[in-house]
Amino acid sequence: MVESDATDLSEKEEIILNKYASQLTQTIREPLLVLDKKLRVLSGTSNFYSSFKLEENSINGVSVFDLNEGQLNNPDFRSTLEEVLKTDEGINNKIIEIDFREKGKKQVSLNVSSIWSPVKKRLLLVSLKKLKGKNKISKKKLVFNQVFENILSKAPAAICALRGPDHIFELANENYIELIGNRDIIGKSVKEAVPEASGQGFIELLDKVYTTGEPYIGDETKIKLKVGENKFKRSYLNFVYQPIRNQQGEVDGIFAHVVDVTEQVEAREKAQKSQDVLSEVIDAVPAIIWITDNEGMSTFLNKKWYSYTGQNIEEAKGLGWLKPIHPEDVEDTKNAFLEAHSQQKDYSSSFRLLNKRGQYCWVLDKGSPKFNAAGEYEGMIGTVIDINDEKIKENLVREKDHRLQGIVQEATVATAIYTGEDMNIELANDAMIALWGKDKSVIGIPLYHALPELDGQPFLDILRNVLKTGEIYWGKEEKVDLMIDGEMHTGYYNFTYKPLRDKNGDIYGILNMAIDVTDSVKSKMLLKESEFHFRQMADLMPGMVSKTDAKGNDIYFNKNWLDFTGKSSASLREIGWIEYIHPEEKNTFIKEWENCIDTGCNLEMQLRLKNKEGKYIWHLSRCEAVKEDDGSVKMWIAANTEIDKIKEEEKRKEEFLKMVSHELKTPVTSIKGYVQLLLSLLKKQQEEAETSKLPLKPSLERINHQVTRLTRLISEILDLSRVRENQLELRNEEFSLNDLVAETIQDINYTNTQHKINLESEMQCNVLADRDRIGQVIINFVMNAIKYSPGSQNINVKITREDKNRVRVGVKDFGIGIGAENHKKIFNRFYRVGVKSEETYSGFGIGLYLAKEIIERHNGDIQLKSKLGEGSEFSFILNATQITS
Amino acid sequence: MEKTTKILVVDDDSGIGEMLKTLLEFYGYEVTVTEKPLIAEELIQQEKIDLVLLDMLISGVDGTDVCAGIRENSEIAETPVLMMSALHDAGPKCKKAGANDFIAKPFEVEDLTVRIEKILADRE
Repeated sequence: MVESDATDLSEKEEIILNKYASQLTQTIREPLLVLDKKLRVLSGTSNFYSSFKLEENSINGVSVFDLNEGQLNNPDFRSTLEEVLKTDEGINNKIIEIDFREKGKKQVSLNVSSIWSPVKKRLLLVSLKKLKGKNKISKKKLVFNQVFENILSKAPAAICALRGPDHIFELANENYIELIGNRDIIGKSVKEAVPEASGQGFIELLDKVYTTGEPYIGDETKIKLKVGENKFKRSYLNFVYQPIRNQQGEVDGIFAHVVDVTEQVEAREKAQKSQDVLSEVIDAVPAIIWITDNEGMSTFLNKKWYSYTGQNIEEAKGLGWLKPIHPEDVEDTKNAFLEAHSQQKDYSSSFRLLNKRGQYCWVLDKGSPKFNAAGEYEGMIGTVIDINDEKIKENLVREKDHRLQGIVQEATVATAIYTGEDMNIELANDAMIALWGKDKSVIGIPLYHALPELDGQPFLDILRNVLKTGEIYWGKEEKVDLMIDGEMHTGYYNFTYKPLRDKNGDIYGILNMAIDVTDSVKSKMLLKESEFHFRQMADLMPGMVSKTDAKGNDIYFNKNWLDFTGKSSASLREIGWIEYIHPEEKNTFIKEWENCIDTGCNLEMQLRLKNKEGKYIWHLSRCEAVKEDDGSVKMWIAANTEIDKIKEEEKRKEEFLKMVSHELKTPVTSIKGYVQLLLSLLKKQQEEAETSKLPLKPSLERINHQVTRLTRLISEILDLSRVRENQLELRNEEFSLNDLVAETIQDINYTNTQHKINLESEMQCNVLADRDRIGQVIINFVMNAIKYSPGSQNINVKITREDKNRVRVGVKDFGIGIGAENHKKIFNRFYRVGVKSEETYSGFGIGLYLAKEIIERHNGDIQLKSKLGEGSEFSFILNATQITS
Repeated sequence: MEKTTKILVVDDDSGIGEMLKTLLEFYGYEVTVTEKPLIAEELIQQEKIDLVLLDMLISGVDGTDVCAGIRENSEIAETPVLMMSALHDAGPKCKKAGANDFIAKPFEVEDLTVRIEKILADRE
């Protein structure tokens, strides 16, 4: 027991310490003590006990200085031990004197060494050797010293000392004896004691060390040792054969220090073997396997890598494995790997790897961090597998996807894709993001997070329903409130929610396409509003208002129309308001109306419309085109204003004028009759009797002439009023123009006695015209010719052919003529040729104006050829229906 | 001597009637004048009228109706009718009603007598 250390050591440690101490002494044949640091005896060799005449183990735990009543209580000895404790350095061959009592004081060689026990306690090994004969002592001492050194440095180990050229075992510790199978070897030669060694080269080694003096170090040398009858044990030994020299420096022995490393070697071999097996397995795996060190540098790649890439080990080392990766993928792969490595996380990357045939194939590289038992990061380990086929397929899909996404992204139609129950915004193109009034950050988050304003609006429910039922939803002009720049905006959208299905037909998302139709809806609303106003206005208007489309199809009738006809709007539309026009105006109207629709020109016409009692009422009908910006007709607005009263008034006015004319002419007729009667009487008297001296005849002639003039003026007033109001009605009848001209001239000749009117007809012709009106024009021309040629006699009337279908009637006089500057003015209303003798040429100045109107209304031409002072020729040209020579 | 031509003048204006009676008698016609168009047909029959000089506007009655009445009365339908009016454009209307000719008021006496003679000549 080690009392002094009881506090420091556990019971177990004490046992270990004591066992260790006794092991040390057991293997040593020399007198040796093992002391603890308080210099108490832990163990001693049997030689020590015998040398100092002590009973074995009787001194354990006793201070070395108390042995044999203080035999070793020697100042030199004490100071030496204390010195070793202090410096931790051993003392060799110190000669001290020990009192051996009856044998007197004797010199002793002292060796002290400090060693550490397995329980980390310091021990002192102390050997005391009596010095004998000088040579012998010195020789012994040398051997012993060497042995001792080796004990100290190599223990516990198998140690032996061989003496002489035959390698006689002089010393061997227990470990050694155990190593060679507990054979009795001391005093025997190696050959004799360990015969099996000779066949394994050990004797030769010993001979060599002995003869050369060169130590030999054997490393994991295999040896077969006999451990029983025909029983051999294979061992691996690390050993040192150290030559021992005598005082003359000659080799006289060999110190052998042997450590049995069989277990380690076998363990290593086993490990190597299992590693080899593993390596084979690894190489046989149809995948590339790699391992890196804790710096992330590749330290291992299986054969598959090299055969795949054609790289060699050197090339693939470190980060060399990145080299055969496709240039487009290498950077990403490197970053992914280094990131995983630095964070000691799982790693996965797919890239194109160049095979030795020069083709890039897609591979999937996956790795995991590797930790040792202590939890320290050792690097990454992973595999690379070929996924080329899958990748090609995936790439096709992705490319398609990408293209699709590209199209979607580029599309001007707002498009988004939502996936999953949460309606995650998988994709939204710029147009959609702009429509939402959001930014790109909404991509990847659920729709209700991105657009919280949808809460309370029906769209999320509709989307969920689409996801559930798989039925497409079409939204038409739906009102959507969106938060844009912090303000709620109401917009109108046409949109679709279309379910997206995967290849199995399962719905995985929704495609949303939307078009902003806010402007259109708003303008429609405005239009509706303005249409409402229009209708309201149209209903309130006194007239009958209707609307048609551009092609003239009735669309709308105001209330007055419905009241007037007693029909509903629908039946009016069906019948068409044109059917209500009086038959006399209907065809004209239809013709005009068709022309309007073709040309876009407006129409104004007076016509009678039949009311619900069947009575025709005069209306002024105005159809006006409402045009688009580009000038095309959008619709027609037709307004019919009742003018029956106006029409009545007109009629009354007409009647009135007629009556005025009639009333004026009646007395004139009487006067004229009497005047002519008197003139006839006078003529008769003149023939029968002598001429009366009274100027009765000239006076009456003048009266007659003036009455004629008055009559014409009255007629012209009536005609003028008719022309002004566009009421000059023309009758169409076919008649002989020659006859008309002849009759007219004849009529004029009744009253005209001054001029000779000559008629010349190139041919006979018929015209379709208003006979009286054309006659009126001829009268006008001839009367003018008479009026403005007072000094001449002849007036030539000619009927000539103008061209194939037209005829000309010309009236030529030889009178005062008209200057070129007045040729146009003369046809103006109220224009009179400015001459001095106005009285002579009196009139309203409307004759030619009326003549021009009449001829033009017949689609004819009126012409004037005249020179001042040289007479005039007025003519008109009309279409002929028949011309015969 | 030839049988005298009997002319019936129908005009509501007595001035015109008187004038025409004087004028036509001067030219050798036998003239009956009435202001009442309703008795015209009766007079034509009674007086064996050769020609009717009929005004178109007789107060309250349309001369063309009188003319049409004559044409419809088989007894006197063949009687020539010369219509006259201060409305110079009334000719077609009158002719349509069956008048043989039309003369606008006021007229030249010669024009009137020529037309009368022409009608009578045509009839024969």
